Amino acid sequence: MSSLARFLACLLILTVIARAELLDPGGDKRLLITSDDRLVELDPSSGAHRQLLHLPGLKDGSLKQLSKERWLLVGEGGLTALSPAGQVLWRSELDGKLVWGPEAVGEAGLAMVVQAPDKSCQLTVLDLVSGKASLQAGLPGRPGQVFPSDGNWLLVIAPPEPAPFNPGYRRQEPPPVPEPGPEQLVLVDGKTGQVIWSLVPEGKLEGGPWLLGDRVLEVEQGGAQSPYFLVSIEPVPHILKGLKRAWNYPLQELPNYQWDLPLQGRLIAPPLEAGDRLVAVERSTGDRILMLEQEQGNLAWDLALEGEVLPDAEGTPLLLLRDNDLVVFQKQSAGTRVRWLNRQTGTVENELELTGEPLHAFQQGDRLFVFLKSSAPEPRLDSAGQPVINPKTRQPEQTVVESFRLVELGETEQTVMDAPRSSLLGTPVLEEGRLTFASRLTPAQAAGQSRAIDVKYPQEPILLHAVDLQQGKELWSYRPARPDDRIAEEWGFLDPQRIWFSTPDRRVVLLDASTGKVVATSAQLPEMVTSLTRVQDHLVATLGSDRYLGLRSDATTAWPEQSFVPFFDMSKLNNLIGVAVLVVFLAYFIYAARKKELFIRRIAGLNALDEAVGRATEMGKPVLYVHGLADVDDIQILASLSILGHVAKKTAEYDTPILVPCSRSVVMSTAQEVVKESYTAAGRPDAFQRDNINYLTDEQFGYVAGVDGIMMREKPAANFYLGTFYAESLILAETGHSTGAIQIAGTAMPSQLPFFVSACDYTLIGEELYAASAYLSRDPMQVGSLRGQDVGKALLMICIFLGALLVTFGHPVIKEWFK
Amino acid sequence: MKRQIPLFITFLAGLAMMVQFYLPAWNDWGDRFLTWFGILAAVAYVLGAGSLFVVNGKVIQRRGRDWQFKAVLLASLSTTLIIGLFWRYTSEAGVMGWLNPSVLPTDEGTWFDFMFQYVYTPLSATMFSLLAFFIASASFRAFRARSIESTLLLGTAFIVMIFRVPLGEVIWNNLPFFGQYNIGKLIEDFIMNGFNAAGQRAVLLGSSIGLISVSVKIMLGIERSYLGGD
Repeated sequence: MSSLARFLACLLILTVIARAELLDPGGDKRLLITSDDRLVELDPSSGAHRQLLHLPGLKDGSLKQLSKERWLLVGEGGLTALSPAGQVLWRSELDGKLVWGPEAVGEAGLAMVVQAPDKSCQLTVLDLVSGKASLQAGLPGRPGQVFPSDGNWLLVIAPPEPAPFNPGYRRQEPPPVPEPGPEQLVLVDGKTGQVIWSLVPEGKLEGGPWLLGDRVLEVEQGGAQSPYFLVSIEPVPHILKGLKRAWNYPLQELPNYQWDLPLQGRLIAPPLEAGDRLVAVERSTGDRILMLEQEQGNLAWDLALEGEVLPDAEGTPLLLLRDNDLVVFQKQSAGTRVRWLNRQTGTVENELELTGEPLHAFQQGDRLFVFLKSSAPEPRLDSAGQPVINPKTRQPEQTVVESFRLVELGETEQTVMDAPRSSLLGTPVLEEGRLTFASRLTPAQAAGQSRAIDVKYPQEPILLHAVDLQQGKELWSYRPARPDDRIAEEWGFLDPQRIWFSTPDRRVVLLDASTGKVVATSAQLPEMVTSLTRVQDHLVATLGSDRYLGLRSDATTAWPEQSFVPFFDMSKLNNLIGVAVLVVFLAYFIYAARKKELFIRRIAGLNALDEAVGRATEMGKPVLYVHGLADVDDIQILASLSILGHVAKKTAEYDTPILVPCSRSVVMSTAQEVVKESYTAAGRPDAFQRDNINYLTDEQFGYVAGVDGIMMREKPAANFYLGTFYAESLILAETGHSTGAIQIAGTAMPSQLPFFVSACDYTLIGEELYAASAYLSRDPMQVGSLRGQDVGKALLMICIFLGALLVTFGHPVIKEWFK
Repeated sequence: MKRQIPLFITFLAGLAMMVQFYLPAWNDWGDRFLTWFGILAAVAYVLGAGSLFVVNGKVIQRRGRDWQFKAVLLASLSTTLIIGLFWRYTSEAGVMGWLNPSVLPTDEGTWFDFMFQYVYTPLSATMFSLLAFFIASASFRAFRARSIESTLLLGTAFIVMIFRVPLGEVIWNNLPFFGQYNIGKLIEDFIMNGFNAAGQRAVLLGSSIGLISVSVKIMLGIERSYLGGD
């Protein structure tokens, strides 16, 4: 059972990016949930897909079959019932977070436990056909664990959270947080959704509850003598069942406390059922194994261990319950030990010192196999084979090299497979007596010898192995001869007979799981395959997050790379319409401006441009023009370059030098051309000085230091700061102010505008920077675009006003549209 | 032709960026254009460095004003360049040498990293710290009650600046009647998230419309002054 679970878990891990679920087992289509929250139907023979749903949070959801006619998609947003053809039958929004369920109850019910936004617990039963709630029951407190049992559900209900403290605008200290109350156990009838009983444990719940058959086990806090109690509860007393049958007596009685057993510590894992007995491990100063009679709670035997029970690589205690014995892996003061205990008496029948740390244990019939890890320090060597010296301690550095072995445990350890200088990767998969696993090899390096660095594939190689547990021998190991054939992280079972993995050069390789031989290799694919799923005769390979392609079973390409993403992103439709409306306005007013002169409001900052250049001319000082810190892919810089053209023409006419220190090389080249053209247009190409438009640095404060230096040395009479500015805005503007220059600034960065407004004589605020070119040129086409821009703004203002009004009256239509 | 080809390239690039925004399947095109821009910008770095050497070199050559500073600039530039490009030493890995492929200049422990940590970072911090003094001097000039608007600005700035620091909060909390209200929350809700946010959004909305307008003009070739001339 556990091996099957591991196998399924392995398959699940391999399909994280885009999970494929079979919606219609008899059909030829597959449903896939993509990483961008789409549910698509895929035809594996042609690769064509059809989008069925696009819901936020869908990728974290799951798809399960409720009946032959109905599938259920459970996502963050709610539940969606689908027909086998992928048609949406109904949708039910969840008012809160799903804690448990949905599970089918009765003939036409779907039950779930939801934590409402106010943290209360809500038990809901939906009608399968209509999706309407047939039952909604509020339970006191917050939902904790939920255990389905025998058609009923046992819920752990935490006490309700105190209401959040909200003093409004008054200054008040929050009241002390009250002690949390006890947790409750609630048993809910699986057919009606009604509470059968609720129970507040006598002591605080310290472990569980665990449902074993029709028995509830939990650990409660005890007193000084026994800090804990293992308590057994019979969920539905037999007598009450009889009463209900005879007189339809409502089951609102307390459950029976059957027995309790004093403990010295908590249980480290849920108890295991061993026939009519239970096995539990208690941990206090050391670990103690307890074997209990289920009915009476009597201790059949117990065994105190010298050390703790060891966990496996996944943290589960290594405790194997077999037909006649119980195998325990325990930590010793030096090393580890495995013990075989008699299930009836608890006597130690056999024990063995292990030569490594157990990672995973597997049973095959009577045989027991364990992966043992060992590690040894060795000096760390650099690529030239010299010891690496720690600069702080001045001592040679050590590195720990891991190795592992698969051993069969009996009277002695029998090594089945030895993997020196290797570490086990992930969880081995046991399938039909064959154990398949991956390891990563740490290459050895001798002192004084240079390490061969594979620049193309620097990662340490991954190897695959298979071991026949029935015969206790290694079947095969996949060790690629060429670096190109290595395993690049992703590998898994395609089906029980085939293993797939991707290579660093983006190919997919299929191995025969029983021989380890390569059965097929694909051509080089456009991207690394992140998951491979078998769909009938085809393999669907997922590339990256949203693309996929189809392979045949011989790994030849069945259909080329395709994308799950639809051609047009409908979520941007509102944006496209908004831009289209604005473009229509622009086009209309550009056309209108050709026929008659349009009025443009006065922009003081732009009017002052000529005045500033004139002042610099009168004073015989240069003009400084600063673009800020962006490149030409920023529209603010393009707008600034347009204004630079105008300013440069004026400086050319007035024969005043213009200094343009740039922070981006591309901006510098462009600015040089703009200024040169302006000088040429003004009839003064001889006056153009390329060196005055120079590059300083890309670094923010280095650039500021450079520009400030120019201001202090050259004392320009007019400073223009037009473009994209960040924290340097005020440093520049204040330094400019201290030199007595007239300053004109303009940016669309809202956080920098206050600094420019306070430190400069004129400031172009946001859109005025973009309007500058039209304003200065007075070209009818440009002026028309300015008017179109203003009308667009007016339309936006109307939308804001209407939106605010409608939201106030509870109609968020416009607000939703602008989302 | 000299003007038409750049305009056509601009139109194509603008259209591609716009289309890839709405058509996710063509996202690759947007990335491709940005890569091309990155390549162009990288090539332009050579121009930038060349400009620095030419402009400052001329001043040094003719012993112009402050030529010593220019010499320091060029020496710093050359040293950083050489250390970054060739001398990759890191004490951590114990590897030292020229053009060592296993160590990047930006790795911790390299000389380049040392220069960044102990030369560039303190110099940048020094420049940035000037901001505190400039804010004080700019505020002093800006907050003068010359008109109704500037008086409102002065009042608002006074409330925000005084009562958002611990000392101002202590003063407020000890005021009769007013002290029972939380001044920090009042400022946050009414001034910062109210008037301030509304003003900033207004600027942003206006800028966004202006940006779309300029983009359309550039794409259609109406706005072409960035190419030099009208």
